[in-house]
Amino acid sequence: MIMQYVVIVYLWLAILLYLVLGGADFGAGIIELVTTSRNKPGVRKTLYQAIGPVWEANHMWLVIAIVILFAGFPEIYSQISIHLHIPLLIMLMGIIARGTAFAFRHYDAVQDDMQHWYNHIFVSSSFITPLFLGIIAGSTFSGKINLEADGFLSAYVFSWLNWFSVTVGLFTVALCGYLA
Amino acid sequence: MNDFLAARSQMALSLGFHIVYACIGMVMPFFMAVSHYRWLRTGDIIYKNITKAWSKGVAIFFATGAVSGTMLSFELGLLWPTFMKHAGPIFSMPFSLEGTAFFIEAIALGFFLYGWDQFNRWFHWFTGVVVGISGLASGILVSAANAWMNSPAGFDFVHGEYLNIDPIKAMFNDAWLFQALHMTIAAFAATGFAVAGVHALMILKKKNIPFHTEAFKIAAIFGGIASVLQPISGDFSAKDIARRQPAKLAAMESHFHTGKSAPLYIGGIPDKKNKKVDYAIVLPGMLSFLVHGNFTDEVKGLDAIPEEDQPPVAITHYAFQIMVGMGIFMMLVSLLLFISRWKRKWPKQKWFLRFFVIATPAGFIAVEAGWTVTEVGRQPWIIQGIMRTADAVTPMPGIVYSFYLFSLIYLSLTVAIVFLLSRQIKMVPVLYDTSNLTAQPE
Repeated sequence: MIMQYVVIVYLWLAILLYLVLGGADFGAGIIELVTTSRNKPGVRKTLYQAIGPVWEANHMWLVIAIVILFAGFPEIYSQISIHLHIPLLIMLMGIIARGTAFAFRHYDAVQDDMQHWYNHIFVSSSFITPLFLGIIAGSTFSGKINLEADGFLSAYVFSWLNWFSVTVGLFTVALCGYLA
Repeated sequence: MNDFLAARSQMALSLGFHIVYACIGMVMPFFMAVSHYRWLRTGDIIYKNITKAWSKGVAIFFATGAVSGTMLSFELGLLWPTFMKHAGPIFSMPFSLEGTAFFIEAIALGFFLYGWDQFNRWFHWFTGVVVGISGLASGILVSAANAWMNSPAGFDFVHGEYLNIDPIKAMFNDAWLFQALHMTIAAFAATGFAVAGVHALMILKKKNIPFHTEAFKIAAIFGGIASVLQPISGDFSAKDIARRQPAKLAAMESHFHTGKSAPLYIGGIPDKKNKKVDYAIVLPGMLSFLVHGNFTDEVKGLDAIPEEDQPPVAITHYAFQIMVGMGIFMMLVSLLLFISRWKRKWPKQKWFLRFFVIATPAGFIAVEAGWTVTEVGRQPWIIQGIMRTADAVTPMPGIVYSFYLFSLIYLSLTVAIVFLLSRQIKMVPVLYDTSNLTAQPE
């Protein structure tokens, strides 16, 4: 039984590190979002220097958390995947959009109007990803997931679309901004 | 399209996308290490420029591979929750090790990309090698996880329960070695040919010839050696599959009837209803030879497998033919490369370079076809002989829309990356022309 607690400790450690380290990376995008357009170029440069070399490594904490979850608590992983399919999907799209936009805007050999698009995608996905991360966390521990529900809305939408979860989501966004 | 087919398509699309980035991210660091080594040894600026130009490409591919890999770790559960519920604890060992390897890779890549002129030169070179080795380890571990689905091990399946789980045994299942070997060599061959092809095209277009010639040489040698070794590894794999998954082998070869002196069909259109292959080149006894080493032994056909356990024959057969065809083509082009060690005029001639330009996509076509063979050939099972794919799929309706969405994302990412790379390649003459050193970045 003690093994369960060891696994939980590692799981929490991975989630915590992801929130602190990866969260700060998201926060960098949130800071860019709330910066006035006059200061944006400077902020972007600082931001790149701060998170450029590390964001991929920080990102791995999420993968490690997921692997611990499906290795240690497969039943929970499978239920979360079924009932929180939609927010997970949105979070994933946020992750892929943010990562690629961030890499593209730095490694694009030509600086032109495309930069504008990269910036927009980077900033909006930096907001959406932690929002849905928080929504998923909120729904998981608030007991809003109804395992017996059979309607599409009650089983797959209202599990996460409720005031509590959304508030936790917004709180996560604020937290990430604060960390950064 | 029903939800089950949509879920399968979405998984296939995600894996098919990720595999390209994973291969490039795992092999390119070795090319870079060679060119970097030459720069440190010879002091020839061309090699430094090649290393830097490649590292920018790698950074784009690596970031895309990292996020698409993360998506896959979620999609496993989003699409196949029942599979993950039971398989998760059994085959998580290679995944957790893969996570660790990727972690090291990401850190080492950070050191490498941002470490120019910051570290001791040889330490900096070493960080690049660490990127390659940990990438290679990731690839092998993920192949081992997939091999477990083909050859489940490390548990006892009693009345639908998964008991006595042994993750180490699960990782070192019967299939892991040959599958990991075949995949690793494939990654080297595909990336080598893709990179060599692009540089060959640039030489033909007379763009910064010294730069592209040296880059071409490094990539072509890696791709060439891998392509010559691949048929040997393919032979190991085929014999292994014949032993473990006779249904997959029968589908690959469109081998409908169990019998001695089994013929080998090259090409052709399998006709599942009448159990025959039309318009194929038939080599009598050859399949028996390939599987058993003599022309007479019996090879199990599809008729030995219950109808409901048979994989789709046509897709598996075509994909297999494409893979082998591309492999043979690449092997022949590689032979040209090796002969050119003696025929020193060849590499400067247009026809020689054109062969490499034509072969640019061949390796990745073979990689995609090969994955189709191994995945479609395992159907209807998600865990061979234990769990059916149809029983593993999520109960959530509307997966079709998720599939459309993913298709859109992957399509736009592919377009974006092709666009970015073409810009990188176009900028090579500006950034790395040795006659114009002042235009160097940094």
